[in-house]
Amino acid sequence: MDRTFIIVILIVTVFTAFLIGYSVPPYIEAGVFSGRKEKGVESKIDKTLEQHYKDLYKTDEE
Amino acid sequence: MEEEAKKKKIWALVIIGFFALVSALTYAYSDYYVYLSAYLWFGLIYGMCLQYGRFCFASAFRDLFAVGVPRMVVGIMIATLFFAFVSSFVTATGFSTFHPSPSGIHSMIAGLIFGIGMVFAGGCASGSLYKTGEGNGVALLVILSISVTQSSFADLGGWLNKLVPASWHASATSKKLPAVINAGDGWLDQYLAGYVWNHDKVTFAKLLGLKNESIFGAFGGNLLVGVIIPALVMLIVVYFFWGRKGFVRERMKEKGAVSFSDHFTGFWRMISLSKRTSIAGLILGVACGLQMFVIEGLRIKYGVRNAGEILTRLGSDFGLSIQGTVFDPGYWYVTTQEAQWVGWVMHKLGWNNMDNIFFGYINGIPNPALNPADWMSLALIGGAAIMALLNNEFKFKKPTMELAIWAIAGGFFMGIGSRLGLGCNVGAFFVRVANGDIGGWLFGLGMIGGAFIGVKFFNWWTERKMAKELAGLEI
Repeated sequence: MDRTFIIVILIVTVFTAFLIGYSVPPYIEAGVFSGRKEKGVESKIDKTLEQHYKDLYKTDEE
Repeated sequence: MEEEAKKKKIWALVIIGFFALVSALTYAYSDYYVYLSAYLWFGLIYGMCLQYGRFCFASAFRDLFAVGVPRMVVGIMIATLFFAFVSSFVTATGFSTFHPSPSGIHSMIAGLIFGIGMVFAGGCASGSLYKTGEGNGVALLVILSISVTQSSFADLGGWLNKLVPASWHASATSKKLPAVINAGDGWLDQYLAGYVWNHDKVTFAKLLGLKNESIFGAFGGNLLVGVIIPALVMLIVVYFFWGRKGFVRERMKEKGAVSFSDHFTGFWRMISLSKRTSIAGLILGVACGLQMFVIEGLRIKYGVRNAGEILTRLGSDFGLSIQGTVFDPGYWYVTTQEAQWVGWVMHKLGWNNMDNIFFGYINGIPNPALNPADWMSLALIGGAAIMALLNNEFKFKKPTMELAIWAIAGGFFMGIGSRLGLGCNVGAFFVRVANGDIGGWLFGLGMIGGAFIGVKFFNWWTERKMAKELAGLEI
């Protein structure tokens, strides 16, 4: 097989493997792979902003 | 000749080195950039696969309808089956970032317009991207045409408002969208809020009363009923009308007769002829599934639901939608990001296009340098360029005037079809079908019809032109 092609595949594999490795711990932390009943992590979303978004949908009558 | 091939290999290494450097440097600056790098590396893989498998819907249907060669259509169906299998696995494990879209007759009409456009342009949305990576100037023109058409169409009102049915207008204004979004003005706004949003989002699993995320729903409903059975029916139809002719002729010469069991051999031969596209499809399927897994993991890590929040943390809140979001599908997509970068340019030139639903309410127009989906498309072109350079298939091709006109016209129709169908041959067909969304098949059926009309028109046009030229010679 062409050496340049192997180098390209290696670089792609290294970066993709890094990305997969980087995204696994959050799943573990969230309990996705465990038997824990309640899955999920604490959201860092600002509560005021969340309320602001909810208010956008409020109708005039409300 | 050998020197030239060596130069091309060096260029391939330069391109991949550039992407590696971008990822490393941006990560060193802030780890939020990993989110954008995820789009980049999966985009690069898509580009490599597309170029290797010659994955182009336009070429596939043109070959089928114009010369009766089913090889690429079969390859695309096989790729869809592989991707559907991976998608079902991802959905069943709960990592999927896919959301079905409202489907109805509009999906089919959109597919029809898109299908005509892709035949005119000589490349579908994904095909034009990978062909651009091969140095094809016509394909680049197609991308520009799709981008400008979509971006303009998203905001156009004026006389187009007169074409909007009163029921759409009433329904759109009754949605009570935020005041800055003028849902009652603009054709596409009223089409979306007044018509499309009134349709249900239906998957095959849901149709069978199953949950998408359950094993039975993902594999039984979405995969078996939603993809395997219809794909098999399509493959049988393709074999019956196009694939079997050559095989039957061959068998008749050999044995003098063709039995029913011989047709199984013929069917299998038709499928195995599409090896290259099928291999590309398998890798595409795995990569699409992995991208969903990675993006969802990163969303959990950063505690975000959309890349808009990441851009805000990176200090770039320009062009976010009113909901604080940007286009962030979490999987392979093509056309929306093309509309976004032109939308960004138009906005910079003074066009206020943030009061519509497409940009202002949903997708935003972030700086293209920080737009995750744009990173994916640019890397896709880069990935295709790498493969083309390595296989000595890269060549700059300047468009002729005639091809440029076809490219612009085709891109226009594809742009309109994409916005009406909420995606292109990838976002509205490939991804949607693989994830059990009924609208994907409706778009696909329309696209096949459109490709058929496009091929017939193209043939008529070419014959007419040739007849004129011949008449000129006779004089």
